[in-house]
Amino acid sequence: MRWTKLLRDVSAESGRALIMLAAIAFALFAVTAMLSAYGIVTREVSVNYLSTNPASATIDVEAVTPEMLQLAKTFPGITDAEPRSVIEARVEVGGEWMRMLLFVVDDFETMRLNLFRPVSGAWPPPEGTILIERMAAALIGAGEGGTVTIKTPNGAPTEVPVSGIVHDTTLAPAWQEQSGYGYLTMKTYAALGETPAFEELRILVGGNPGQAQVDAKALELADALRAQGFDVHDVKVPPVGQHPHQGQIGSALLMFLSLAVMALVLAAILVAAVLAATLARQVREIGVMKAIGARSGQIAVTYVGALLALGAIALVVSVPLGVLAAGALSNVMADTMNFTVTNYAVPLWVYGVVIAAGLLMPVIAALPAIVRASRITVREALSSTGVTSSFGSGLFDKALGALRGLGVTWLLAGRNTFRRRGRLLLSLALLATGGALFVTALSAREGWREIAASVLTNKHYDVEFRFAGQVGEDRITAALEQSGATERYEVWGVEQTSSVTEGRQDVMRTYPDRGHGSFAILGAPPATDLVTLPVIEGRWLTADDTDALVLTQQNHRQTSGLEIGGKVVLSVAGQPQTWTLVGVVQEIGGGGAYVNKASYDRLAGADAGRMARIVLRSDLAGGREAALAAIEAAFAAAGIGIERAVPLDTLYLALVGHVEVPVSMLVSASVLLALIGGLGLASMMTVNVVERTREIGVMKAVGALPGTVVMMIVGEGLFTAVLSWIVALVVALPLIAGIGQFGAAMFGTPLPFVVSIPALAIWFGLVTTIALVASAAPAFRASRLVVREALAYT
Amino acid sequence: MQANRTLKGRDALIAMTGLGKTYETPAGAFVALSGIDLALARGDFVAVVGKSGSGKSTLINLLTGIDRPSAGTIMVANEPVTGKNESQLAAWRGKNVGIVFQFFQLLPTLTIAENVMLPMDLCGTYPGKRRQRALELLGRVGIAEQADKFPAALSGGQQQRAAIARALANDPPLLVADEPTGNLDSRTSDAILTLFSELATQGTTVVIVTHERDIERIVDRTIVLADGRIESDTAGSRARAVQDLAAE
Repeated sequence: MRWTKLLRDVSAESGRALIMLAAIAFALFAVTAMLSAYGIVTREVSVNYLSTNPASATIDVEAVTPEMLQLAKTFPGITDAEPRSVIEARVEVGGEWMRMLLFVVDDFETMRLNLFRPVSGAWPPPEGTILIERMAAALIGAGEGGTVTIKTPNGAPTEVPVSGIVHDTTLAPAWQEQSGYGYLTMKTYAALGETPAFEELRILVGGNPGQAQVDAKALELADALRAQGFDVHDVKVPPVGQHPHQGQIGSALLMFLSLAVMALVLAAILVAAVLAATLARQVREIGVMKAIGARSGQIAVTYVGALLALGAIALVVSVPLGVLAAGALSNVMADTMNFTVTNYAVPLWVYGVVIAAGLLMPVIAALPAIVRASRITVREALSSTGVTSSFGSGLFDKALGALRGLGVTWLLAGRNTFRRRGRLLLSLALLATGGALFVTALSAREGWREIAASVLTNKHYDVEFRFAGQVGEDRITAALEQSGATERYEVWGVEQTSSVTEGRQDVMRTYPDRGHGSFAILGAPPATDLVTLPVIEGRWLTADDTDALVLTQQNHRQTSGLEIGGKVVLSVAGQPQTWTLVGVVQEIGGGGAYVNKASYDRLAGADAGRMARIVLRSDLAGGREAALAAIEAAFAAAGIGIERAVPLDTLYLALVGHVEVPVSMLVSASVLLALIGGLGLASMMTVNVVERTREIGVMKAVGALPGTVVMMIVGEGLFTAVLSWIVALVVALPLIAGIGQFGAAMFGTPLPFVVSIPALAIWFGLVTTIALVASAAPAFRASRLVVREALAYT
Repeated sequence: MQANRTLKGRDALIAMTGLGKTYETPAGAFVALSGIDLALARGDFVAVVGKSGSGKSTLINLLTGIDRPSAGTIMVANEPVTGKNESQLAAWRGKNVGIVFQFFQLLPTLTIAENVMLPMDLCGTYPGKRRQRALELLGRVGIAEQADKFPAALSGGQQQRAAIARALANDPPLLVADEPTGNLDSRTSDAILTLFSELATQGTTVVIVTHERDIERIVDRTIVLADGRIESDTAGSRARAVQDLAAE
């Protein structure tokens, strides 16, 4: 009979029941979607990456020989080895040259390490053709059946047919790196004008090794190769078993999951609030039931049962929809981050967590109200007058009472805002967290842009050309003079390097795609006026320096804060050299270890890598494009291969673009939070209006017009929004400072403390609009209340 | 007993003619009031009594414009109450009717003075002098010292006095009270009824719905409702005393 009563009560209070159901169902949908997506994506990223059989380490050598390969394959603890080459070339896109990595494969049919799979077209690529990575195909606008014009460092521009499309899940998305990816045979590579030699020895360490074991084994093999007289340059070991973007993807999903959990907590509290309001109305019925024999436990079980049923219904609706959404979300992430979802099955633990959360969260949140209501004495229950208010008894209420000067309607709106403080706190938490994230993200972006702008203020050239192989400085100078397109220029030395600890070359923690982790030694003309980097510590180079070294703040951090005068051993082309640290400079985007150019030339000799930093003539007809074309033509005529040409403004844009992904993620998260907060606010305003029905009736009875009622309710929403904006600003300040310090950890220099005024203004507009929308419906309903019915409301 | 007493030449503030109210319920049409003809003069202190379901609350709701009649008309100060929309009714009520509820119904987040200022704020009356007027009214009902407290800090009797002060905020010609002493002890009830009597003496028409047994001794008229009709309309002791005084 109790259950019959409960069913009929629910039917009679269908509006409230629907509010509770909608809130909990929406939150469970979000949790299911995010948790399932997390389960699917983390599993699939790992499955995708491991299915490529990633090499444990890559050893850069002059040229892989059969003997070298044999030594690696038979080396204790190493189960497989393969030769490979990754070459930095350029591809023509819309008349401009874009960076393109060429992966030269020994045998497509038998390759066993760092696998990529064919998507369409030929496999293996016929001689003279190239395969393009699927995401790169879109970036460079080349599809199967088309052609691409490729220029390798030492070759002429060559049109190469695209014979197929492949998917290489180990690579960062092409759009993110702004780089093309092509796959070709050694013969095709040689036909592009390059020497046919593999420069990488990729190895697989057997068993289930940890990072330290792989590092040790790779260094052991490098030593063994050197001992056999082979030329070993670098040893590269990526994080073991981890996709390059695994951390990034996991963090993004965890962030969205935490938002979903917040939505669930919000929903649970909302359910508790609605139930508490219902219980307050039913208190006399509870009294009657107890008067005729019901025990407290029976009454409590009835309401707990109702909440469990509510959770169960919400689960039935939400879980299938959430799983569907998770599939779609996984696909979006897969498309964005370049992996493929092969299995959409949601891990079983996800169902367990969601079901437990759906059933238990509302009960836990509502339990105090249920226990209170079920324990009420018959006398108290029967003499109850329904919903009452004790506002004014606390210190905070009294402080609010001191507010004067506003119209009474606005006073009501303001004080009502603080009436249900638990609910207010939740709405505030969501809206303010969203606001703080938003302001922090955009402020950090402004700070980062200021830092990135230092590229333009500290470097005074237009373009930097890096050359492939061994090019004498006189040839470079002659070609530049020949071009007639330069106002002035400097020729620098540049070569990859790695530090040496205890006589042994350090491992470079980088993926075999020429990604992050590389480190350059730069031979700088001491009196350079094309680069003026702020000196943080010590001094810049002088013409008399012989073993002096100046590090960027980022590389200085990697030396564990070596003091000025300390010694650093760097290896260039396998040759260790000891340097004395004389200064630390601040530089973002590029850089590395600066040494006097004379010292660099002495160390690297005729094999030294070079780059030219050039100020273009501005008076040429055809402008910058014409100047660049003239220089390219002059280098081509001189037989000088160009590995990379980077205009300074492109470097600036790339730096600015570098933070766009995390900023966009934070901004999306903040907007999502604001929407969840808005939904929460709407639900809470609805419950508040229901609870204050009689008060609204009284206001209308003493002369309040519908517009006044609307103003009061909307005012309450706006007060909440403005309050959340203030809290967001207060929370954002330490966050911005924290992000600045994070910048220090990432780039060796803290981001400047900048509070984005546009971000504050935009968020104010957004959050007040959300509050207006969220409170509009409850306000309208309140304004339409019939006075007689409102006054009779208990 | 004398039904439908006339005003004997005095100004009619309220005139109800052929007033009726029928509610449509799941059990069928329910006639709450029928054929009510009633005239009340300025300064009348009138008690409406009757058993539960007799139509007392419905009569009050129609009189205050909280509900709309199914039949008949109501004129208050020569202005028809019927035919106005909700907004017009709210504005009319704010200026012309003071309402006192059984459970006081003070807004809990406004102080006592602010509760009294609310009708002035809503109707735009007494600009710049609202707090001063609120304090005067609170002084009149004897709780000026409670002005800046929140309702929760006041006793039932004090809250009801505050509610009366709020009802008087815009100096309405008509004050309607629904069971104003229903939740008060007898001593406080007496004080409240005396206050109403004084207001009536000062020219405010006071209509109260009550269960007080000896209400007849303090009011001008006692209207007894039964089954939605006026069963009796008699002069109370207060009116007789006034009449006797006039005769002397």
